[in-house]
Amino acid sequence: MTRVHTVAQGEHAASIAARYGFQDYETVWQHPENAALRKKRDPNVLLPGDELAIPDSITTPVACSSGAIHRFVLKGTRLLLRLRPLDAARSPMPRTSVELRTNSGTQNATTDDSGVVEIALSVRDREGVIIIGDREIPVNIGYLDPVEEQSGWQARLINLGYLAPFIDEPDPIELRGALEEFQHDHGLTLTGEPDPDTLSKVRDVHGS
Amino acid sequence: MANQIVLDGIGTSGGRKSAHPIRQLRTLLAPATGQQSNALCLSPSPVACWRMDDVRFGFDSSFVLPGARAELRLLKAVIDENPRCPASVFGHADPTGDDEYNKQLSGRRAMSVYALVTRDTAKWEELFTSSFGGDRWGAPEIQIMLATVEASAGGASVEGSTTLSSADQIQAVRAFQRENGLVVDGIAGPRTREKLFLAYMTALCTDDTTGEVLRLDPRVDFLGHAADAGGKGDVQGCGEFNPVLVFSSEEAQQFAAMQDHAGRDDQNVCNRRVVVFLFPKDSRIDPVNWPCPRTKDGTGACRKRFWSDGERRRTPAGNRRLYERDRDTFACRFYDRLAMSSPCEGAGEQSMFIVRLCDGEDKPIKNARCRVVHGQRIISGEANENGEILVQALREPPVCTIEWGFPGGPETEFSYSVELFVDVDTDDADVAASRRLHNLGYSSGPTMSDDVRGFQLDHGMTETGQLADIRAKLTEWHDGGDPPRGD
Repeated sequence: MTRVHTVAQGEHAASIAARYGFQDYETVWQHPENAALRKKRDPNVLLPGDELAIPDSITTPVACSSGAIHRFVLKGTRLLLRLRPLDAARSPMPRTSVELRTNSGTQNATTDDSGVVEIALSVRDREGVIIIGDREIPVNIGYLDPVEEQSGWQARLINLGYLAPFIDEPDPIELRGALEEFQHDHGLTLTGEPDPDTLSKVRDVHGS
Repeated sequence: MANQIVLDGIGTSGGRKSAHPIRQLRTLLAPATGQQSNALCLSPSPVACWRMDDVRFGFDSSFVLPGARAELRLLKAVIDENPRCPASVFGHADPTGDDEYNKQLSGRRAMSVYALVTRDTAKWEELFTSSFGGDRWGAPEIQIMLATVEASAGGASVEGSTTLSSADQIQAVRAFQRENGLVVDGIAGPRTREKLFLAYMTALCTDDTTGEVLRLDPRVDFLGHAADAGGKGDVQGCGEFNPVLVFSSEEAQQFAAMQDHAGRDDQNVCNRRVVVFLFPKDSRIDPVNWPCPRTKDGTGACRKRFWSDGERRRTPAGNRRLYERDRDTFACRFYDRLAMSSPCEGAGEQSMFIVRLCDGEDKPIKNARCRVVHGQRIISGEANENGEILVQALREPPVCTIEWGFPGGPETEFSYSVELFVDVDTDDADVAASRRLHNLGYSSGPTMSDDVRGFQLDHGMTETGQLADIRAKLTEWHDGGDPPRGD
């Protein structure tokens, strides 16, 4: 018997699994009823409205003798925030300090020679601030939508520095400019449209 | 006339400076259980801009005229308001002449400004010795510089007389040489020019009232940090690719048919400009990845960045087009993104409103000390005799805080403060009305209905407590009537 959880914004497979008491998100994600979802989604990039089947919690009785000490290894999800900061000309930034502040606390790390940094996350971390040098960037972790959605490719183009953040509605001219510039930089046909080739490339270049 | 507190944009007869609206939003990221990662570009959008118009250059020339003092003061102000925000200089030409010619010309103007603020006399010497088309520095420019330097030093001003007799010219050169430890031969050769350039640059960059001097360090104050010998990332010419005004096809035809180009050149003047953008604090770019070519390079790299319909954009067709209204006159996508919210290029909506600062008993405070905080901008000022200030600001962020107190108090202490909506117009009529109501001082009631009643009571209206009933009156009072009160 399974329940169905409807994904809300900001949720990802690991955070949902944890809500239902599953330390390892794979127990939920690999459930046969999620096969269709697995085909089209990355577990960390879900869309509000997606339906995730949640198996019943599994109680596995283990026989142990009393009076002795027993070790249980909890297999949990190793959740990370992997970042690739880029400068104003979109070049990687190796050996740069990055700080992440969330409700769980503050962590510091340094990007490696290729400009990538990994910071451990708790499933409860949703809102935070990333600090690089003097720049403070408020972030929402787990809020990235699939690239096929307008909100998804727009957010990635913003992260890649092709589009300036907007408040209410994005300016269509800006959107087109961002797409064309991305297409130019990655050897795609300049259509100014979010066609499948472009979106696929956006996802690859962004990393998620 | 209320005393002005200008938060964001200020203009002079030859240019302007402004902040760009700041859009501070949350970045959306995906966590990783596998290989997922997130790019995170440190926003390459400018935070402020400055523009100097054609009038500050000699005709068809890259020589900076003495009047530029006013605009250089503005440049110093916008740089001081944005500490550690590196700059990049963009020169623009009008469409007269071919693409390659205009690229070089606009590049020379941009380089001239860059060299001026960094005191790079070698670059000015290069502009002097290698003339380009109509851009020829010679005796007239030497004369202007000598006169300006002399006037700055408190000497007799020869302003207004641009044609000295050759005897007088030689005398002026000799005088300068004498004062500057040079060989006194009356000839403005390279060594004399070097010192003259420096003295002239310094004179232009010195504010004669405050004595403050504008001087930038190429390795620190520009986006490319002088990593590239040709200035890539620091200074570039856009040629005629990004006009702010494109003639209508009819105008273009008429101008083409005329022998005398004065009319066309006049109309085109707004296109001939130098723009400086300031980028977020401590930004740096690797020149290798910067799309703009060097000032001396050709237009090849520019074309790679054209919109797919770039040619159409910058070419006259149909009606006259303006960047500030039509937003489609720039051929270069890259520049378009930088300039998109730049008030210096015509973008960005501003609000202006008069605020009367009152004390606890609603009496205006004459010459009240005040401070206005809007986003990251903080400006201090003083109200006029009626306690009024005129606040001019961009509409983002939508709220500003005004603090004020009695004159003569300690600098950072203010007795009163209020938050005002800078942007009262939204699509939602109720929100717009409630913002106006707040701005007019009715926001202390426990509910909106009480605030509405307060307004109705003060204006002799029936007390219904319904926002809809006072909407029209609110707009009338807020947008046209009594300045808001504060308490």
